Amino acid sequence: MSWEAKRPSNPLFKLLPWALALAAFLGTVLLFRTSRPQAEVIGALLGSAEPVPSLVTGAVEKSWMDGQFPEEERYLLAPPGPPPCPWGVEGVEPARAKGVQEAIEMGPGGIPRLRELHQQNSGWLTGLALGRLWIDQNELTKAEGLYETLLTRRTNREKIELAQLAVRENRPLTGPATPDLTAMIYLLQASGYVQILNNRSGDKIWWTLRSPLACGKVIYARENQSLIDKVVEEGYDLSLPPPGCVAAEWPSISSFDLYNNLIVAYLRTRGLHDSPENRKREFVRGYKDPPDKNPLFTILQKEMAEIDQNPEGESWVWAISNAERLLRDRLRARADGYPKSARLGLTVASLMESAVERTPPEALPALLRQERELLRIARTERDEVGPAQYAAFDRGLARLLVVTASRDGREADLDEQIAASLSPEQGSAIALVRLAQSRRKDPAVWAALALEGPDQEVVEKLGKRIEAWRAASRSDLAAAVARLGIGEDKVTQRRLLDTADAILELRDTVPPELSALRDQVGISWRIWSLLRSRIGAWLFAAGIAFVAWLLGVWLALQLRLRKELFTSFYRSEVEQRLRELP
Amino acid sequence: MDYYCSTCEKLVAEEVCSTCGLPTKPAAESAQARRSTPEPEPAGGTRRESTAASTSGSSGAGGTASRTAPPSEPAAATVGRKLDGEKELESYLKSGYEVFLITGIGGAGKTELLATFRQDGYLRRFIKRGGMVMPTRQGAVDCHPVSVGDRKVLFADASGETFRLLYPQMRDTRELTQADIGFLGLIGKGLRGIVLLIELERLWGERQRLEDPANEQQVEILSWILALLRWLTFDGKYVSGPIRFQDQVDGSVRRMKKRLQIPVQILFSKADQLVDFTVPQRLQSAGRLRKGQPEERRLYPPGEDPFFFAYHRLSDLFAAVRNHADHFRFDFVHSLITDPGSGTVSDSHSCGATLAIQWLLDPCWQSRWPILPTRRWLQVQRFLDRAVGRGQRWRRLPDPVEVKS
Repeated sequence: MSWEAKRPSNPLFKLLPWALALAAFLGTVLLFRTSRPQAEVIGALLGSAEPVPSLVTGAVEKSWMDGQFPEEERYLLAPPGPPPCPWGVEGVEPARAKGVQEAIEMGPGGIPRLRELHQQNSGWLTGLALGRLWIDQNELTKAEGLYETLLTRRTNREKIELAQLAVRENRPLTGPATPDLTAMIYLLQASGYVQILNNRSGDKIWWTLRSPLACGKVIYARENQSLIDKVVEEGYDLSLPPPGCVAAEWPSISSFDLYNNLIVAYLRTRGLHDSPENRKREFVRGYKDPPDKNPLFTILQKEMAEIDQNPEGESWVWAISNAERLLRDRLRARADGYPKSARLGLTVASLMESAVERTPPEALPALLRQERELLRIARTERDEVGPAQYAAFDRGLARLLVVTASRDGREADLDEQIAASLSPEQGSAIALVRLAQSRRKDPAVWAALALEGPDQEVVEKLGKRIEAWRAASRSDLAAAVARLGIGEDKVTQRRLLDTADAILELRDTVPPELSALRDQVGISWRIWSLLRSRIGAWLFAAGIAFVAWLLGVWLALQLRLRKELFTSFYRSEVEQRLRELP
Repeated sequence: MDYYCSTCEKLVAEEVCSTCGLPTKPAAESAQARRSTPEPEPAGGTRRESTAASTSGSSGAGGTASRTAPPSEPAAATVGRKLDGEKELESYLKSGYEVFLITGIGGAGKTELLATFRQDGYLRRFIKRGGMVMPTRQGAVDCHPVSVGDRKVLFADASGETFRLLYPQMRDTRELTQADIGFLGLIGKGLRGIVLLIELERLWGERQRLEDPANEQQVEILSWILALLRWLTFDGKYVSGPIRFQDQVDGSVRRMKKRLQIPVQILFSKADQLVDFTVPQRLQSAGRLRKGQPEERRLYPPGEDPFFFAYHRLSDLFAAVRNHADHFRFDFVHSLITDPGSGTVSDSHSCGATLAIQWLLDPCWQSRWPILPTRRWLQVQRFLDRAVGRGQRWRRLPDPVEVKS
């Protein structure tokens, strides 16, 4: 056939684009009607007296620094204590004491002499002194071997095991003499230190790190004139001068240093998988503290339930568990206050920082409060760290100070001393965060940046980071507005909910405060709000367009079929045929 | 080899009878069949005999020149046993083909309609003689697969005699049984559309009525086939007992609320012959002239509105289709034009067939869109016509319009 018959078309199909255009127009009108609130309005609502807490923005700003601050530098190990004082150690011959003292005073040059003396009787006195010098010379393997030899000697081992037995049986007055225990503590602490640096794992390192804590408990009980049957809580504060030395004249190892190194070892360890019995013994508690009093307990309970799903994070949970025992005993059981230790403060604060994103909302305010307090103490007690560790300590402290300031909505206060410790890359990263913090001080300025657009300086310096930062800012601003509505009357709540909803864009994170406010105002208002919001306007327009298209197609189909019912195809084809004929 | 034409009752030399143009059978096979098959009794007082003699020149099925219906084969020979081609049909159904049934009495033009359907695909080659296709063999159902896009479509074309004998009044040997409608049941499994073909000249022509009673009972036959298909679709359970099969089907369909939801296309075939055909103004019932009624209206198919034509002049057919189907339409069609004098094909172009079958194959019938039943549109249209002053066309058949060239 030379021609093809065609069924009549329906003109309604031509109307479909117009229907869609109308729907798009309607959506645009709705979009403009539901325009965002002005930055000044948000600024007036939030006020400028109090900083605006900003969890989401804080997390974004923290991520800018992550690459510049390696995981290992976020914690600080307590180094081995000073060498012993040979003259003060009971039972040491004067000639030997003189030889050891002279070798210690010679520094690295005294190592051969100390080795010679150590080979004569292999006692802990020469071992401690020699090990310390090797550590100073970065001869960690030799030091580790030396300590291991000393700790496997029967006499030393027995002293440690007797101390552990005394603690287990709650009889601190039994067990070895205090000078012996002090020497063992120094030996174990130094051994643990080198094992951590040598990345050792297994039961031996945990025995090495836990045992001095047991020895210290026995000494602590004796110094506090406890009688028998005394349970010594964790978190005890004990300062021990080197063996043979007088306390006031020498820098000491403290019990907080022992706790610090144990927690740091857990944080540095990967792939720890202990038996269920051991985990149960360590993690299960006989008490139930509220989240606002003991946030680490809440985190521990949550992580314990999920530990099988995240086996790689087991050592982190052990660190949380040890920190929880320590802080609880300090704060709740004995009301001694936070441990006055710069290293432990930094380590536990850093541990808490790593837990922020995994903390249940009800425990988060208390966790952040404790973290701030620990940082304050760490900063106050900075002198105890010693010149050798000032720079590392300041770098770790700087990161945490900036991170907490970001979250609190403040500008970080870093003194020159801290700033000088930073590498150029770290300094640049912190400068970026501080720039963002400076723009967030005034809520109106912050809202203008988040809702209307950043200024040139911010754009140039933040670069590609800007959009994520603005999205986080919108989320935090919405959360801040929503917080104002909690406990207010319904009318105020609805007004604030509308404002908070209007701040957010489609992909922004909905903060829990906003969700809580939505729950309070009820489902009907939420639906009404959604319809009037920017998202709702788009959804509404898209819905109208879709329904219009569906209806249009359906109606066009029906009308086409109706037209064909009253049309003669025979006539159509005859007419076409006639047109084809010459 | 000699062949026997059962229509002309004579031996011929070819596979096709030179007199009536119908296929023949080998003489030996036919002789055996003649010996074993009793002669059919005349139906309804009219002798059912071969009506091979054409009135105004022979024509192919659906062709221009009026061609009488093919002879009726004895009922026992075609009904109650499997039709030729049923196995092929089954295999197509298993392959997921959509089946479209073309039905009408013998000679209405079913095969010719299919042959002229323009569609890319692989319609089976039709044997043509003198420009016209050979009709479907009696007792056979021919399968014509077509590719329509990615759809697998099959046209089932059974011989008209098969359909005729499904109507109880056309049977003279025994009662209709469920076994007799086996092939309809098979088709019903994949049925997606129906074409009903009616040849108006044979329906209303006085001479043709005398030649074969089936001519004037086309409406009843097609209505019954629709009823059978509806029964097979929504019921299909026959309980043997004192009530006859057809009575059970009839009762069940009367109670039935669901209608066939597939499109039904009613085509008035050989429309080219109907120009100036006198349209009976009033009909006693479907297909029968009221006696003594003056003939006042002449038919002009290209200018007629086929829906209103059926509504006013074939009211029984209209009522039956409306009762049995949700979606339907009417139209005229012719497949070719032959010269009345010589009987040769003068124009091989069909008119009405292409669009009508396209309507039937429209994907909308298989889609999930809810489609308004035709009877609802009719109610709406009637209301609108009254509102805009066009209600007259619902009271009398509109005059034909001029066809623009």
